[in-house]
Amino acid sequence: MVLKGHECREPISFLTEDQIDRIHRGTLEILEDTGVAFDSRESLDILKHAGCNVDHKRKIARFQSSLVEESIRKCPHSFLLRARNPEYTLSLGGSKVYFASFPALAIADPRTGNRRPGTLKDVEDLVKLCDALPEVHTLCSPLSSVADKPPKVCMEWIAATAMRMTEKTLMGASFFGCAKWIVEMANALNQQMIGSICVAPPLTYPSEQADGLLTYARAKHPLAILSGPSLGATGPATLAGALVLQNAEVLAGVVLAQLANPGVGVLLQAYATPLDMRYGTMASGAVEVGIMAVGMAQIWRRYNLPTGVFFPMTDSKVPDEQAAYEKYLQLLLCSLAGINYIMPCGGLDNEGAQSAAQLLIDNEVCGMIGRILDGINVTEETLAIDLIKQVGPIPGNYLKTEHTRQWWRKDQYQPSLSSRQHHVKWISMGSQDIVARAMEQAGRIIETHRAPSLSENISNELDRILKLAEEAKK
Amino acid sequence: MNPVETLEEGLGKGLISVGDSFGRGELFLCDLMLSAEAVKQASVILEEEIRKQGIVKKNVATLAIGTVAGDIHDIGKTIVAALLAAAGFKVIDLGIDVPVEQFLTAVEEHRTDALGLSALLTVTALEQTKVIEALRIRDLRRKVKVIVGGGAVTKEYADKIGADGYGEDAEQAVRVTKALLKIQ
Repeated sequence: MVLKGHECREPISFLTEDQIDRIHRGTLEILEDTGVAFDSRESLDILKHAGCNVDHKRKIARFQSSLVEESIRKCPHSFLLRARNPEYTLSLGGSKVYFASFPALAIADPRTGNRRPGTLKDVEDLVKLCDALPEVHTLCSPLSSVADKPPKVCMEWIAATAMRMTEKTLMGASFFGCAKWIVEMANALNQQMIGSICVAPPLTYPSEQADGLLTYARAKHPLAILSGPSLGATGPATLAGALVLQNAEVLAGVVLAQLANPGVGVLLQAYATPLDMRYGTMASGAVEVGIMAVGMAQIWRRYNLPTGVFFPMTDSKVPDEQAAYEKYLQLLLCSLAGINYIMPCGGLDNEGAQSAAQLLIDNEVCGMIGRILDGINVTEETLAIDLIKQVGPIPGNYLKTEHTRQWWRKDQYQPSLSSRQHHVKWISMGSQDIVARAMEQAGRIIETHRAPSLSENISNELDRILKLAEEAKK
Repeated sequence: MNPVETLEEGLGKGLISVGDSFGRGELFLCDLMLSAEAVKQASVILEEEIRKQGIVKKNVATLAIGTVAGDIHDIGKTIVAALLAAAGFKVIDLGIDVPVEQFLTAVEEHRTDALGLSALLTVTALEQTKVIEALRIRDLRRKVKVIVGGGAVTKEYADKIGADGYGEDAEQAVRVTKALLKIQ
């Protein structure tokens, strides 16, 4: 049993077959000539043993094309991300499209944009929302930092809190050596994490990320290897160049993963964003982010590997029109490109801020995107030819037919936040905008939704592991 | 050709004018970086000539800047360094993943007026505290203004760890540094 999610049967494309070839060859050339730096003695040793040309002094490994291509072949075309409740297990790869929540650094007031640091209580509430929202198929903790735990063990506490609040699958981080402890907690719950590995562009694996990769892979947890060059700063300013660099960075991790545990599931995840040359910020809401995702997905589909993105994102500070058009242009492109793991739910200002209102609005739009992917269902029954004959011209109507009662809900998406009532009615109900309605709904869900229960034994085990992590990091 | 004049009236003024154009949105970061790099390379040649000729030049405010140990985020710090150079500072860029000791050495060696500490991660922000503490122990704290910034740092945090200034973004970092050193 796996979670249904959505499906993209005919992905859109922006690159020709020749262009895909050229990008692939360019990638291999970079990996062979320039190589990738790994700030990890162990990783370099593994790569050297597999025949890479390793310069230990500069910590660089250069990869022969044959090794890279062999590693791509070793990866499964799709893999399961096992949840402790099998209802929520994901099948990543192929035509599946799943939506995930997005991590951010602080809590934003959706009206003023003012921020405050998050707490574990916020993680609880936000995860509870994700647990309740049907379009959040899987989670990356909606908060990536909390103020009420020491920074060094923040990631472990956030992971444990999320595990307690939902049975849906979770992404596990690799920062500050947390991978080891997160793996232990997931094992205690008998669930798999998707281990997030963040390359530092250009062409560098920081030690904690390389270690995280080895930790998750060896413990048989699949990986999401993420590269996020910033166009014009940590990567070329051109879209094609950024694709080459991003691909090279991710494939270097694929090689290491397949050496550490042959056959381990790897999701290739894209996160390239332009540098804004005026303000020096990352333009995470740029439309190019979505355009590159389409190209990257084509290349990775050529490899027959599962695909992901670490967005849609926006640079807007509050849930407003800018947040909507930036996120949803990217979301639509990614979904139509058939990317398997997309992260549209929650998040503002390039990971800077989280807002429950934004999360709920995103959930609503994800439902619409899922409906777009479903397309038009054409069967004898949906064509309704007999019905049209039967009803005939006015005064015939369809409101009272059995066909309508049977199909309206099945064939049309039913939004729960969008305003569709008559304007007089809308005014009489307080003229609430979408943010007000979303805030209200979020409040109701947090109040009424029950988190899944966890046995006392397992709960104690999580506490024990947290304590060990705290001791170890003192 | 007088090397001091070339440095101050030519390169220096040129760079300040580039900085102004950047501030007005007429030039962009990549233009600023190119100008700062050109000035940096030319300065090496001119400084050498100034030393040879034994000329005493007027003091400019000096600042050392780097991303703290354990953090390899480069771009933000590099942008701040370029903007400071464009504002007329002599900037010593210590790079990324800079150990505490190297910050202290730079402060002592170059007699810097200010020290910029960048940290993008919550955990590495703690390193900023360590640098400030080490400056205190080495009796250097009162000699330099410490400005902190980066993704993980807030104004409240900067105040808490006893930094003199905080830059939310590159332009604010320059404004704050100038204000602290009472530079117009």
